[in-house]
Amino acid sequence: MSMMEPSKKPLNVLIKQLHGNIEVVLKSGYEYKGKMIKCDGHMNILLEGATECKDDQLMTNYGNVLLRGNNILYIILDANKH
Amino acid sequence: MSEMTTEILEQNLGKIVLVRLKGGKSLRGRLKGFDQHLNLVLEETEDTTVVENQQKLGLIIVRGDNVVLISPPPR
Repeated sequence: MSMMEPSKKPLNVLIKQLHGNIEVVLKSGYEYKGKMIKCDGHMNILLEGATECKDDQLMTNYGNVLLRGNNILYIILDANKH
Repeated sequence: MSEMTTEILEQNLGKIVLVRLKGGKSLRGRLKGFDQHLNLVLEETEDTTVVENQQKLGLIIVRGDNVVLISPPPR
């Protein structure tokens, strides 16, 4: 682990996407797309203009949303390309 | 939890927030207090899980590990 370049560590890769559009998929199956305004060492994420989807169906539009990191399954970093 | 969550929640103190919990429950209440675990004190709380049957819960404490998201309500 100590050999890994710091810039390749997951949380550092995440920080590089600040102010970009990302998609966060939770263990529950819910997906949140939005602009990542902030994140921290727990992988807590603040999304701006977030939309909530489940099974590819739009559920809710939010303003800002604070997601608690422990619920995250994975994060799609290049959400613009899809 | 971290400085980031503290900063965000401080901005929402005294405001009505929407909270989603593990298991699918939704709550709406006025944020009175919080801590580093994201434990929350909510007042005037309503369980808004079932739209037609919103239950009044009043003053409650939410244990942080059940919190999925916190958002100021749509309006």
